[in-house]
Amino acid sequence: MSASISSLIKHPLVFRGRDHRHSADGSELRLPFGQTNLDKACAGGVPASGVLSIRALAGQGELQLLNNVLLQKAGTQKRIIWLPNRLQLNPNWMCQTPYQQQSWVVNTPNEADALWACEQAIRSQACCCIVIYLAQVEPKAARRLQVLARQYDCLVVLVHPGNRSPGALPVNIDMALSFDMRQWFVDLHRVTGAWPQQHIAIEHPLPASNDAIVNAFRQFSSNDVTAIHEVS
Amino acid sequence: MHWLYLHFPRLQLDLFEQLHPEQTGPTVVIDGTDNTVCQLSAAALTAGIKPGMGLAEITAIHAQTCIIEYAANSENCQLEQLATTLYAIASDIVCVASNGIAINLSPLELYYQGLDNFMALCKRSLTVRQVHFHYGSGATIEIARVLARSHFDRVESEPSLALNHLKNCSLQATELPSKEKEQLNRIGIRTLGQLIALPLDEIGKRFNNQIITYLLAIKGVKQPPYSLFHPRKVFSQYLELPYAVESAPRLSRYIAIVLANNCAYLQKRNLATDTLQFELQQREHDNLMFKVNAGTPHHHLSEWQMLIDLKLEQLKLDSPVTSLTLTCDQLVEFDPENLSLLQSSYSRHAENMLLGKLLARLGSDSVKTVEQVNEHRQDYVVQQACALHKAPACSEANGLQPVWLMVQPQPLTEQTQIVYGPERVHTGWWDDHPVKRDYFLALTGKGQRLWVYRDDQQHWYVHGYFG
Repeated sequence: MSASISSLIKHPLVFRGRDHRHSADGSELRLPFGQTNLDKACAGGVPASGVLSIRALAGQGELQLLNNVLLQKAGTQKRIIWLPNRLQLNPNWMCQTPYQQQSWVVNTPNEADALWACEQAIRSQACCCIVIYLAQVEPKAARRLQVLARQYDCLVVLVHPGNRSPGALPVNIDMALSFDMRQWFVDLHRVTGAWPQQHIAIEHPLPASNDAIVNAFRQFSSNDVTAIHEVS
Repeated sequence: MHWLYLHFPRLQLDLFEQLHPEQTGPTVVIDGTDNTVCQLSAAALTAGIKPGMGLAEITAIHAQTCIIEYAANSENCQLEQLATTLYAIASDIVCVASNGIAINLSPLELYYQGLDNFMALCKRSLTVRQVHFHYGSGATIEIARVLARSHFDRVESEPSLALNHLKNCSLQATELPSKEKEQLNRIGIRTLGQLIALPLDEIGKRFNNQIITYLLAIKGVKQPPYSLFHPRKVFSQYLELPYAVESAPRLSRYIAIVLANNCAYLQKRNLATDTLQFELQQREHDNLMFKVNAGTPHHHLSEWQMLIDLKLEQLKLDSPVTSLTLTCDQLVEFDPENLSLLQSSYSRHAENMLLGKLLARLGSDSVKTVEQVNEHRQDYVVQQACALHKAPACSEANGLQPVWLMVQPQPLTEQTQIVYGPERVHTGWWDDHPVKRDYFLALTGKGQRLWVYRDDQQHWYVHGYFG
């Protein structure tokens, strides 16, 4: 019974009375990722308030993907709360971002406290965005955050490995990052206002690479006059 | 002079009844020096218990009687709080013993245009505090005190009229020592009128100077000097708990009493505070002290109560708590934020309240801003993450930086592909923590971007992740 209702709810033309965040022309305000395929699949981008769930392993570049979204949210000048899990946020990285001055890092001893801190931050209405890292997410907790975030006009980015949360979470967007032979894909398990989709190809460049050096060596090593080193 | 004396016969019991309204059975307060009843509730009176009864008698009359030990400290603090409340409506106040307040009515009669107005205000202030009291008035504090202890409950317009009523008061209502009262009873003197009628020199032959001084005050001839009460410049209140409390969250209802007094104290003076200090006296261990900080100075009871409840949830007691003290000495003038009507709903107050909640529950080191650290050794970048303050804007980029750092680098155990690097960090030789590492950006099979390094022993470690 719940499976059939959930597929009905996912229909993009079904209007839910609680969804009241709309722009002037009546459509809901969405923040684009800056990637054409992904924005199209998400009906324009991430809803400005609510929960965005990203299933990603550490180091898969989830924040790089969300950079455009965070920048738009940071424009409100409200606080951005970071709730890391086991790792420490690098201050020197944060200082390179435009939202360094409005960011607070909150360290919690356990995930229950992290969820509590997230909830308090939403309710305070002093925060525009909360980025929280968890090892696992219960659908009930995700739903609670979703309801609060919609009510208080806050964006919650929930990052977790995803291996302990089968099925789509009851949030605005539930997506997973995957890497397959040099190409990155996004699987959309749930999207408000659009159908779920799998295998959406995205551009996810490395933060840095030696390609320039490698190309230079290749270009100049072929000529005996300009060759300095051999490239293997 | 015209003095009003307010006698509070059961301060400790009044406080107990406020804290435990569900307690409807007989309740008595026992004086620990002789184990006799000194205060008793209405239910105890109905059950047949009388002042002066011993423990055995009480339990024989009513086995379920709730017994509390008398604590003079606690009553003194309550009296001080009452005096502070009355200070708002009267100026010349004297605290007498642990259960009486004397007020000089002479200047108030003109100020309030009649003593009736003042008495109505006084009674209302005390009724709000939920304390039982009796009162009387006279030319001296001693006269007023005897009338109050005799339950006179009337203020005469002229002090001299009180002397007529004084004559019928029993000697038990006076401050004469018990031995002297017994002596006088044996010779048939039972009322104050009989005592006053005796010649003073005859009394002086049989009793000491203290009695003579007291009688002179009773006659209105000469009153001993008293110090006037002045409220403290900072707030501090001690509260004796009726029961030893084993669990920290259960202290909330008792803390609420002292907190309400504190907030009333601050509001009346247009002051605010962002720090409250608590000291819990534990039965078998040293006193436990803790602070509760708010993000911004304020004096709102509900917001402070919420922060204190959050703190109590995390607090662990070594042994049951028998009393507590609240001190609030970091006071600033209350300056509320002015919000524009047309501005968005964001306010600094909301931010500060959030900060207070986070600090109360998670600890004072839990919330940090981010500041650029002038250090190439990534280990020290993590350790030097700064405490909460306004973060300055960073001036220059610091090269390629991962989002996440591991506090302790872990050996690299999985297969990776180097895609960038090396970046050599060779520094720290001046402070005995030298570092010589080649950092690389490595890619795992699952697409994870690791910040790895190779040390001078050619060992590989993972130090961070690119988010």
